[in-house]
Amino acid sequence: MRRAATVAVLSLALAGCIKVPDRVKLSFCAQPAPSNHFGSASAARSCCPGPPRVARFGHYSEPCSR
Amino acid sequence: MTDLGRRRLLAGLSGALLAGCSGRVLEYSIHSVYDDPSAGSSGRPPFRTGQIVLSEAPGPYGILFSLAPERFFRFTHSALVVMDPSGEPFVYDMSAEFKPTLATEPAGSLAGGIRRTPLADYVGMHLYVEVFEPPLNVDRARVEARVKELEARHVEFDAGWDFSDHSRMFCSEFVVDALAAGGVSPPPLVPLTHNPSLRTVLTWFGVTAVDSLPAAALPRERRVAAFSVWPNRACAAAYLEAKRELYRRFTPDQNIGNLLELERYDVRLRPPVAEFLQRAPELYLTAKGEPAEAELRDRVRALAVEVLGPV
Repeated sequence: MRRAATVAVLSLALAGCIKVPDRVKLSFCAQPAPSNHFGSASAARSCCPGPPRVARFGHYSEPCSR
Repeated sequence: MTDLGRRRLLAGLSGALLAGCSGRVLEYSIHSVYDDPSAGSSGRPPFRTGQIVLSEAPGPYGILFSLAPERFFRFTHSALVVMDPSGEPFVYDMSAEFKPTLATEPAGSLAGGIRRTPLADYVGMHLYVEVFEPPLNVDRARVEARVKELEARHVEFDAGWDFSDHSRMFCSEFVVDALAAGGVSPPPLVPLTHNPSLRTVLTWFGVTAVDSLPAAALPRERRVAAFSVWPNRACAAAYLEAKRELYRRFTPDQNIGNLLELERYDVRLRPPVAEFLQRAPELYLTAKGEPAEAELRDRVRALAVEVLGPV
């Protein structure tokens, strides 16, 4: 049991080594309506709220900027 | 799948073959087994070494990878049947799993190689599986020998889908390589998508090739069996049609994030997409026979408009 827990914690720690570049994060943004063809436009706001994210990612471009 | 489940499935398969002779219809609580009406009527399972297995697993990756080729293919994974000496069919495929390492990119933590799985267990891991005869005149003994040779060499999984480098292999590259040993010419490669967001994500996953070999592009002959989690083939056809509709909607201006969301280093389907894929097979839960292609397409597209919105 303890060994399994150790392995699980170690796996999580190692998984944390994977870096997600900003360009990849941007690709996983949902676009706002009406350009979103998959009914997920409501998720767009959480990913692309506007200026703060523009500053954070540095190179915000279409289609997330509005 | 449990041993009991396996026995039931294999027993069911034989039953289904007999049903093809007697006209009975057999259904299973977990998987359905369908006969190719043109299959032999000997009552023996139709599996032979060298047959090609095409399959769809549940989860987001089947959707992600189906969007990768420049044109639509129904399946995203392929494998080969090799009979063991006792006559039981085994599926050999090239697969990988995520094993966390110190790597900073996903490809560095993907580890895998040739996997050998009893057919029934393999079916249990998938939503839908079809088994096809390979091209005519293939030398099945040579195919088997090549599979065993690659297995003995511990050829590793190629997360980059690089068909020009055979030191590592991805799923369809492995199948093509083994079939080539049996005399089958490799099919032409298919260009990968130009969609900017998907290219970005594929590159992050380690795929930098400009073309590749989709599983369903493999040359093959008649289908000998199909298995699914649904009670009839119409449901499976509706699921594959739903994938086609997602592909149709994924125009170059679309972000992959419209379908999938990033969760730490993994991806998952966004809720509307998951709902659409869940509901599409349910359109045909009580269907008798297979629907006409046009009707199937119309109903799945109508569902897409309802769940995903108009395009």
